[in-house]
Amino acid sequence: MTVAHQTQPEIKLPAVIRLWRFWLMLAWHDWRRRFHRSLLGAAWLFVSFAMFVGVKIVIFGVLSAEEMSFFAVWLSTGFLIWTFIQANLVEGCNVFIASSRWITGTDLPYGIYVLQSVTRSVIQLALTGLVILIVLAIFPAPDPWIALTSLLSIPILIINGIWTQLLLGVICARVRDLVHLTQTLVRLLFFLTPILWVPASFGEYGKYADYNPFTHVIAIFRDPLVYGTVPYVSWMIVLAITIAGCAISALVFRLNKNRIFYWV
Amino acid sequence: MTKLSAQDITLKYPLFTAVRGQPTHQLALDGVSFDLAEGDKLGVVGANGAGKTSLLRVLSGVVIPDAGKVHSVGVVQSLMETGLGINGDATGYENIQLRLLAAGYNWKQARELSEPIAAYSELDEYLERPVDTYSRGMQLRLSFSIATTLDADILIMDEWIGAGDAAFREKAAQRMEELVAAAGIVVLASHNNRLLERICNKGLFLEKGKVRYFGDMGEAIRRYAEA
Repeated sequence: MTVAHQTQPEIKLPAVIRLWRFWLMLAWHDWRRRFHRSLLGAAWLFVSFAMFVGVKIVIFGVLSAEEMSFFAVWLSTGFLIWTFIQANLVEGCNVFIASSRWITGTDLPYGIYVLQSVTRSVIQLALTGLVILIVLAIFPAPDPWIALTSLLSIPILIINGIWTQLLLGVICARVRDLVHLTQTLVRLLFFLTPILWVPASFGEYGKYADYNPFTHVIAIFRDPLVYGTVPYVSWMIVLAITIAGCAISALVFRLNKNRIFYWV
Repeated sequence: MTKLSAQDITLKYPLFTAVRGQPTHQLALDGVSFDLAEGDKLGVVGANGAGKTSLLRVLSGVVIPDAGKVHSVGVVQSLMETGLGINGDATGYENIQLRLLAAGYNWKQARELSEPIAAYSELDEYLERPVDTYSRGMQLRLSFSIATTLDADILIMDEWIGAGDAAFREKAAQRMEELVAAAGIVVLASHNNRLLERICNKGLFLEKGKVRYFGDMGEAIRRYAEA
């Protein structure tokens, strides 16, 4: 078989998707390494998330003026999505740096390493999502049909995870300070995003939460479950962010792809 | 019809430690050109830093040159430094499967094809251990077995072919012969002149990123020795 081929490591989406078994296997190896020789293994994610949410609900639920049934769902769903966002931001910074052994040794398309990393965060989302199912069994959503629209936000979240990791992966490989800056900002953003607190209880100041894009990213998943409403405005904002993010990320990658080899 | 040609390849490495006023790039390859037809076995010689590894990286598509073109017809497999293109935490056996999946095979094909690769490597029980615990020679065996068992028309190998023991070097040379007999192309960079003269019919002598000589292997080695 002779194939004319001019190798060029770039995004090459069809090739990346065709090699799904490869990045799935890489993600599985990462996963296994993370829980290597631990007794509970991946169940730790479930346990630690459940413990964290449980303690937070008790402490902040008492401090908060809200009903416990409302606050428990509010906090656990918000924290679920935040955990996913955080994983993508933090791991996105290292997505190419951590794959340097593949990048400097093979001509495989770089998109593979992004999907490997996003896959890990999706598995984590699925495992921690089990905690939400328990919370929802205790405090059911107001309208089960509207609650189903929450699921529509998951693919959007994953697409946002992909462009975020691609973008951060490129710029953090070049400017290493951004790795540390991102990690610092992620910690700050957790408190600036309405997860532990409810904007309404801040009166006048609560409206500032609307300027935080993460508020809307969380809202498209959380609002149907806590309020029984579909947040159309948040959906519009998130879709706009998704489109703009994909475009910017693809552009930054395209301009820098040949340099990534030297940066990792 | 397997083919491999380089046209005016220029490659610059960015220097991250550059001080203001000093050059920000290192010219690694400067207008490198050559043509290889099926059955050609090219030996690349030159001092450390002459651009041998850079050239092999460009040829295998790992890095894109700043100028010039590589034209290849055929499936390229490359063996770069040991420890690259592998997952160090995974076992030898798992790495064989990873590389097969990366080549586009499905689960079943990867399982089936990994058997002959595992057998050829002769690593036996080591295949169940993480690759990071391997010696250099063992990593070489593993990578070589994978690269030459996959459908390769063009095999590109960096210096470390000498890392194997005598028995494995013999096996490896034989494998390369088979590959070339099947109308393949081999590109080899090495400091082992005896090995190069035995395997290669064409030679390329690089100096400071420039081609000083391209032609007969023996002649390339002679000119390199004189320089």
